[in-house]
Amino acid sequence: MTHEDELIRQIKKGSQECLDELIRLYYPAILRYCLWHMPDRESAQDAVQETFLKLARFIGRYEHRGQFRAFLYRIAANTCTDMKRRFFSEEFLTAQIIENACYEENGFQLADDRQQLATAFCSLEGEAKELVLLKYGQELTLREIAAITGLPLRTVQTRLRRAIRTMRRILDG
Amino acid sequence: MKKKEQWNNFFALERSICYSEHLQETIKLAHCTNASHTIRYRISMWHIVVKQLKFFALKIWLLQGLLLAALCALFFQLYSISVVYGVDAFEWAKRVLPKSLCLGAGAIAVSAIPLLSRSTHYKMAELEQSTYFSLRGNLFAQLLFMGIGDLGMLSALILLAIKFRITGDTIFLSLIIPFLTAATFCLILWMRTTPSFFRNAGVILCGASALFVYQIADNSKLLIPEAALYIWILYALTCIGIMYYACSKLYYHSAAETNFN
Repeated sequence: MTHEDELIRQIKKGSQECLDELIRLYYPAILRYCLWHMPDRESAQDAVQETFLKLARFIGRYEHRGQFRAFLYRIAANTCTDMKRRFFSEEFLTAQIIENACYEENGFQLADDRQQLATAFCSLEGEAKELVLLKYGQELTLREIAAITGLPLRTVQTRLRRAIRTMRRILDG
Repeated sequence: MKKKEQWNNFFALERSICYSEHLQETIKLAHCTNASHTIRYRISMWHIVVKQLKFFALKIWLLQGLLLAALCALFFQLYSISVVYGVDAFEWAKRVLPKSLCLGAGAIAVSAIPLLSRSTHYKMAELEQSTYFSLRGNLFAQLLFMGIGDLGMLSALILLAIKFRITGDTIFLSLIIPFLTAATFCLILWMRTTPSFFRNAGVILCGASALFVYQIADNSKLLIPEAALYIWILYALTCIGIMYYACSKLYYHSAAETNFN
């Protein structure tokens, strides 16, 4: 039994300390994920908070089969989608991602590289973007990505490869 | 800078953000949400099956008991008639009993059909809604109680056969094999066909299968006396395997959870 399994078991029995620990464990990764989906830090933090509140509300019904991370990312993805639909347009979000990529002042070349990457990243379609983000931004395994997106494993591999090829083509040419 | 390093740096954009204050706020809110949300307790499927004993089981076992009583009454009525006519009743019973056992086996298997078809047809809606226990779970519980009742009835018939000194292999071929055949066929029909077809054709098909198999078993004893028993043992194990597979499919697909506040 992993540490995560034990935490979930204790939370179902009513342990608040274990719930705190679980939130602390996943907060940074979910915040990073939401920052990629929301235009600014405040809305990303709102999305993270809403994700963990939903988790606290519904963890009693969750049947643990070793895929908790995928479950949490699914909640985060749905929360971000709901908030985006309500408040932001896709064009606005894309522009924000490109702008944020250039924000760190670490030299002109680095900013330029980042802007190129951001443009390449934003040129991907919604699903491809999500796959690249989950793989490289959140460092999830392909199985976890398959569980989050609901796609078969081979489909995830193929589409990810295609997305990387597209990005490389844009960066090179 | 290498491409891979570039990509890693790009996606690592926000790794150094300070978030401790917001994290504390989120934890506090999560506490309140978790505490205020109603706690639901889970009970296992076996727990709900035991609770259903007083609703299902008694009714099922009463019906099966009445059926067994009717079969035994019929047999003993004929037995007493044979005594009246001066026939050697014991010898008569020994001749007639194997076929009677086959009919009894078919009747036992077929007795489940009205109950199961009714439950499937109405989808046990009232029970499902009050317990949040799935339809499959409720049907599995019913099947379990019927199985226990069937075992009781078979035991009673075996005791009756032993009393009339019927041999073990005759009991096996006349009672167990037809019962297993009819029960397997009944289960397959129940799971694969519509409730109306199951109700209308199930009795005939299951009863006929029991009789058909009995005829084959009876003839095989004459044709291949040495190997017959082993072949039928293998056949019995196959039927048991099919029934186990069907029941476990029903069990594992059912929602094994009941919520109550």
